[in-house]
Amino acid sequence: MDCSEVLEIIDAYALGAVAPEEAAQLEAHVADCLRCWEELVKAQRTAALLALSVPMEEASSQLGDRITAVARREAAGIHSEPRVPLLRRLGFSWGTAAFGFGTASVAALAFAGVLQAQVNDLRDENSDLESQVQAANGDLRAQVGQVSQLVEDQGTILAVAISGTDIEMKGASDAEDMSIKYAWSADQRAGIITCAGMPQPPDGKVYQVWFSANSQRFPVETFTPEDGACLVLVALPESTPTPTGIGISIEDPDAISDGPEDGWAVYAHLPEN
Amino acid sequence: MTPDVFPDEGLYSSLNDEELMQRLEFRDLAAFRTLFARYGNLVYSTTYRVLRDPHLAEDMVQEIFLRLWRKPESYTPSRGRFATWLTSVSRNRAVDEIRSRNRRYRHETASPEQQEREVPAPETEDPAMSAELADQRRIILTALSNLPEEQRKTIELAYFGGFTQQEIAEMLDQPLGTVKTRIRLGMQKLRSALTPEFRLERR
Repeated sequence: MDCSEVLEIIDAYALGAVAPEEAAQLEAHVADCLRCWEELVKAQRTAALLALSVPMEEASSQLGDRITAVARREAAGIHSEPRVPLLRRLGFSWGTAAFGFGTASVAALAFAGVLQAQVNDLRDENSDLESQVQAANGDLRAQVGQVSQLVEDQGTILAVAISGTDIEMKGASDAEDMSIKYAWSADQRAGIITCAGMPQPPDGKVYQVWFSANSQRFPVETFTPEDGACLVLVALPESTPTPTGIGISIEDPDAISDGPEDGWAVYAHLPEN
Repeated sequence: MTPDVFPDEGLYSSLNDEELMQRLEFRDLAAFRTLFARYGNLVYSTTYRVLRDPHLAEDMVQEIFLRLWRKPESYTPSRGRFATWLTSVSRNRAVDEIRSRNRRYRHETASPEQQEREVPAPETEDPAMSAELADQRRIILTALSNLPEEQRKTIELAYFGGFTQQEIAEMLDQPLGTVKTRIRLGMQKLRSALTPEFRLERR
């Protein structure tokens, strides 16, 4: 196909109206011919404008909601990196107001003690059936994994405790004895929320922690207070921009969306540095 | 209900399309909603123009917007104005769909009579549409309405009907050469009319 043949069909090609074999010949030609390629660009720009000429129709009023709902679910899936909440990972129950860092260390040691006892028990029972030993080994590996995670969390907690900044979080409810603090460290890209006197969320709901950055909210962790107390380690996912605020809302754990469903239970602005 | 202390929702209406698209890369749902409010009806009108079926057209709108949501990087300003790019993508996608259906369906639903709709009156606009876009539509519609009717119909059958020149010749019972000439002349006139407004010559 030469230039004159290409120019004969170039408009039809831009409209998508040439047969596949002709289209392939044209494409082969313009790949090597700058002049025809420029003509093709102009023809394609003209054709693209035709799409703006359609008579205006009105889509059904539910269409936007339907599409947004799918996007919202996808956003929640991408934002909420599935993490086991810290309290569950720690594997023990906090007593009333027993959420200091010292307590955490004691609890870690206690947990390690339980683990050691289980190891001893296993050694004593090494005459048991092989299958039982294998199962127990599996448990052990899982527990060692938990302890490693615990030690890692403790390291982060200590680093935040040493280098962090304390911020009082303001509650929207008027619970008088509620006290919530956020200690955070920009270095660690992590912080700890400690609370006391926090009301239980309604049945089936949890507290959801969000960071706010660039006008978006990033869900980071869920928790449920025990006897009004909590200690929640919140780490920024890698892709999250530097946050300008932190908030807690009450959510259905199976339907976390792009922002608090019913506003903030607690919120604090974060300083820039 | 407690107040939402993030005072950000009102910002979006002042953002331009490119800025909203940048925000989609950060999974910004409010930006997505704003883009849908701006272009949902236009994209629907485009897919409906090709598919002629409200359910198919809406399904395609959903597919197009979710693709935008999942791959916002598929648009870059080098591809031209966002609205033109989006409607053009919508038309292409709808034509692909209709081509993937069997010819019987196409001939039943996209007969020349159905395809040859009158050029819409410029005043029937979507209130969500920007004044700039409404102006652009007016210019394009005027250029189209200034074409001889057979040229305009042939171009519309090709572009919105997804028919090849050969198919159009058969449908209109005209020689293939006539169809080719109508397309070539019509597109040349459109290009002349639209070039000053849309800088079609720019590289």
